[in-house]
Amino acid sequence: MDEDPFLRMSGVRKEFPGVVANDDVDFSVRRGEIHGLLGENGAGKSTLMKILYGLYDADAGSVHLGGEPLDLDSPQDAIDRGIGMVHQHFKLIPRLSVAENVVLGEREPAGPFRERGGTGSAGGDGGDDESGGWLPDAVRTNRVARALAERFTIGLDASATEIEALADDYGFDVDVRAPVAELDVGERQRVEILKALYRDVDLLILDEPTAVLTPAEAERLFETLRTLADSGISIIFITHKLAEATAITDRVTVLREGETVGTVEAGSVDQSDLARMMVGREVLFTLDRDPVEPGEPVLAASGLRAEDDRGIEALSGIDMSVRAGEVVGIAGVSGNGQRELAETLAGVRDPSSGTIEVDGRDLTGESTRTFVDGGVSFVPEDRHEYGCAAELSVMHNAALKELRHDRFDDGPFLDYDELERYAEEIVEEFDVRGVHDVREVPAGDLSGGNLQKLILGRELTRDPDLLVAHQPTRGVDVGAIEFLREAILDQRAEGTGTVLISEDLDELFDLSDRLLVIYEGEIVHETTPEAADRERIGMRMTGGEGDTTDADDRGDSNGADRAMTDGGVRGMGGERGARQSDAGRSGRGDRR
Amino acid sequence: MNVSIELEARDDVPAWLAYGTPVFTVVGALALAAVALVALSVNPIAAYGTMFVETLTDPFGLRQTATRTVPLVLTGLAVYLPLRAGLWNVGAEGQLYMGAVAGTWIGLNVSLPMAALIPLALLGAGVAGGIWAGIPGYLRAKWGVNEIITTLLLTFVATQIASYLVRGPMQGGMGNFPGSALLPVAAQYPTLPVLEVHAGFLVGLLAVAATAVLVARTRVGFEVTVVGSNPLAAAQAGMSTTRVYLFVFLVGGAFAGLAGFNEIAGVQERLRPEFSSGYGFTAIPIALLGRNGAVRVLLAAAFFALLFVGGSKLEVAYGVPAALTDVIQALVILCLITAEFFKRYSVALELDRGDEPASVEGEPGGAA
Repeated sequence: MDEDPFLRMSGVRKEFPGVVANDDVDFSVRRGEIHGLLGENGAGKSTLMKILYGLYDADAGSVHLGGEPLDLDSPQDAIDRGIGMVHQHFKLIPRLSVAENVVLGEREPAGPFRERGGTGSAGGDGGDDESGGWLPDAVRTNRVARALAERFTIGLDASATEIEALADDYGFDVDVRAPVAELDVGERQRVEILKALYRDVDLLILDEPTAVLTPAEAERLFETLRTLADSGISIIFITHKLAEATAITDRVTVLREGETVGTVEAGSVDQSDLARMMVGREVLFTLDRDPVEPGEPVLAASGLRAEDDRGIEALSGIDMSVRAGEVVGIAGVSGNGQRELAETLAGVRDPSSGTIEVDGRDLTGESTRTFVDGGVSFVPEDRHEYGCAAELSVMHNAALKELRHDRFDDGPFLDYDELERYAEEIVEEFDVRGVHDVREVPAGDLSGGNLQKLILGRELTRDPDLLVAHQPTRGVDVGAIEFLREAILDQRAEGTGTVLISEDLDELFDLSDRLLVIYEGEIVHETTPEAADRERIGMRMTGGEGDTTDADDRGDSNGADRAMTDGGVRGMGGERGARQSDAGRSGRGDRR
Repeated sequence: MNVSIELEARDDVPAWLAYGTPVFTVVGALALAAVALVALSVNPIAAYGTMFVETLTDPFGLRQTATRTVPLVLTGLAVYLPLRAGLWNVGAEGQLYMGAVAGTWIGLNVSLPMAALIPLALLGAGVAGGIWAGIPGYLRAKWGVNEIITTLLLTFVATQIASYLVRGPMQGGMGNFPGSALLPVAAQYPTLPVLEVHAGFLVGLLAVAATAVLVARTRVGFEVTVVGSNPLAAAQAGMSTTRVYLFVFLVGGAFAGLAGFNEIAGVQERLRPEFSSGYGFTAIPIALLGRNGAVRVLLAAAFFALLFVGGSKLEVAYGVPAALTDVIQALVILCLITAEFFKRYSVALELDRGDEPASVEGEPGGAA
C-alpha cells in the first residue's frame, strides 16, 4: 500500500522452539510518521522489533531501510544504520549525569585520543583540542591506536553544552548536568530519547513508552514525539492501549498471534475496530455484573494500622468489611497505603494495631500460612516481584498455594504428576498461552497478561472466601484485561468476597458493588458505583473535601486529580457502554 | 584493524551448554593447569595419566579416592542444601569440627556395643554440626544477618574450640602431643566387605540419596526450591522463609557434622587439631559444580577426591609441589565462574581488516 516506505519489512518469519512468533509479517513505516504497532501481549510485537533492532535474526523475509536492504547482526549495527530504541526498562546509569549517560555507549574515546577538528563520531567536536590534545597526531590518527582507544578508554567528558543544545532543539526540558538518579520517570525517558537523537536516528522505536508514565507525563511524551515526527524522524510506537493508538499515531499496524492483521489510518478507525482486529472478536467494554445477593461477612477489619517498609505509618485506622459475593473497590492515588492494606489483609504484613477477621475468625497476627489456609487469596501488585518465582516452572508457580492440599499426597512424598495435572487445569481454564509443557516453561517466560492469568487462576482455583486483588489488570492487554475481569466477576457469583484495589476508575466502576476511597492511609469516602460522582471521587482521592476548591491550594494535586479522572478516559474506557454483543461473551464461555 | 566483541545476553541457554558446563569447566581447568606442569618441565599428558588413569585403575587409589569422597560429599551437601534456598553456608568446615568433637566425645565416653555406639555418635555429630550451622541460620532467618559472614567466622571459633579441647579436657593417649585418646574399636568404623572402604562411605551415599529425595520429591524440598527462587513470592504463598532457612542450615550443618565424625571414626581414629584438610571449604566449589542435584554433588566430590589423591601421587612421581593440586582446584573454580558468564552471554568475536580508507578525509596527519 506504500510505494516508497522508509522502512519495509516483508514476509518476516521467526520461529522459536515450539512457537512461531512472527509468521509472514509485513510492516512498513513512512518517513516522518508515528506508526503504532498494536497487539496483545505475545502477539509478536517485541519479536518483530527485536529483529529490526538486530537482536534476533529473522528466519525468513526481508527488511529494507531507506530503500537499502538491512542486515543487522547486533544493536550496534542498528544504531549505526540510524535505528534507535527506547526500551520499557530504561538502560541508564543513575549515578552518571544526563550528558554522561547520553555519551555512554557511543564508544567515545577519552579526550587525548580524540581527533582534532572532529571528523569521526558525532561527539568529537573541536572544543576538545585544548583540553586533552597532548598526544601527537600520529598516535591520534593511527587506526590501531584509535581502535584500541575506542575499545578501552571512555570519554564521558564530551561537552554537556552540545547535548544541552540538542535537548533545546527538540524542546526537551532536562538538566543535562544533573545525575539521572535525581530525575523522575518521565525525565528519564526523555534522556533515553535524547540518547537516540544524539546517535542521529532516523527511526525511533518506543516499546510501550507510556507503561511507566503518569497520564500527564504521557501527554508530554506525545508532544515530544509529534515534534520529532515533524522533523522527519519515523517513530514506531509499540502499545496495547487502544486510546493511545488512536490518539497519537498516524497509522496503526495490528498484529495477532504472530501475523499481520492489517495496517489502517488511525483517523479512519475507532477503538472498538482496533480492539476487534487485535483480539479477533468483539470486545466487551461493559461487563455483565449480575446482581448477587451478598452473604455473610467474609472480612471484617477494624482500626487497622500498619507501617510501610521504612517503618512509617501507612495505614491509619481502616475499618472495612466485605461480604460473600461482594466486590469492594478501593480507589486511590498510588502510594496512599494501598500496598500496605492489600498485604495486611492478605496476612503478608502484620498490622501494628487493629483486628482482621476472616469468616468470623480472628486472624490478627497469625502467619501468612494461616491466612492462606483460611481461604484468603492474594493477587499482589507486582507479579514478578511477589506474584511468581520467575525462574521456576509454570507447574511450580501454579501449585504455590495449594501445595499443602492432600490431593498432592503420594505417601510421604509430593505427587508431581498430580501437580502437573493441577497446573494443566489452570493453564487450560484460564487460557494461559505460551505453555507447551507446564514442567518445562518458566513462569518468567510468559507475557504479562498470561502470567497474570496464571496467578489469578492459581488464586481463584482454590475457591477462596476472600480475594485481595491489587491492580490485577495493570500492564496487560485488552483481551487479558477482559478475561481477568470476567474471572473476578465469575468468582463473585461463586460467593467469594473481593477487595479490589485499583488505580483504574473504570475497572472499579465496572466491577465493584461498593467503592471506598483511600487517602493517606484512611478511608475517606464510601459510595456505590451507581451513586458515585467521578469528579467527587477524584477530589477525595487527592485529599479534597468534595465540591470545594481545596485542590487549588495544593500545587500538585490539580495535576494528580486530572490524572485520576482522566485515567478512565485514557484507558480502554473511552468506549464504555458503546458495544455489547453476544459474540463478546465468548471469552466467558471459553473459561467454562 | 577493528576488533569487535559483541556480548549478548542469552534468552535461553542451549541444552548442551547447560548440561556440559561442569565438563567444560573441568577440561578447561586441566588445560590451564597443563601450563603450570609444562613450566615445571613435566609432560602434562603423562602427568594427568598418572593422576587420573593410574589412580582409577589401581585398587588402592580407588579406595583412597572413595574414602576421600566421603567428607567432601557430606560437606558438599552442607553447602548445596542452603544454596537451594538461596543461602551460602561457607562454614561447613566449622560444622565438621563441631561434629568431630561431639562424635569423638561420645565415642570415648559412652560404652555401648558398636551397633548402638556408632549411630549414637553420628547422631551427636549431626546435632552438633546442625546447631553450629543453626546459629547463623537463625540469625539470618530472624534478623537478616548475613549468613556468609557468620558461617565463616564461626568456623574459626569451631576450630579453636577443637584445638583447645585436644590440648586440654580431651587430651590423652599421645603424651604431650595435642590429640584425644584413640577411639575404642566399638566407635571405629568397620571396613566394608568387597569395597574395602570404611563404613562411613555408606553414610555418605545415604545422605546423597536422602537429599535427592528431599529436594525432588517432598513438600519441604518444593518449599526450599521456591524460597531459593523468590523468597517474597514464597512468603506471600504462606511459606515460612524463617523455617526454610533454619531447616536448610540445620540439615546442612548436620551433614557437615557427620562428615567430621566419619573422618575420625573411619580415618584418623582420634581427634587431632587441624585434622581436616579444608574439606569444608572445598565443599563450596563442589556444591557449585553440583548445584543441579545431590547426585551431581556426589560426582563433583568424587572428582575433587580424585584431585587430592591423584595430586599426591603426582607429587611423589614427578616431584611437583603439593601446591599444584591447590592450583588445579582454584582453576576449576575460576573456570566455573567463567562458564557461568558464558552461560549468560553469547560472545561473538569479529576481526575486521578495515581496508577501505573511509573517514580519513580531514585527518590532519594522515596515517602513521
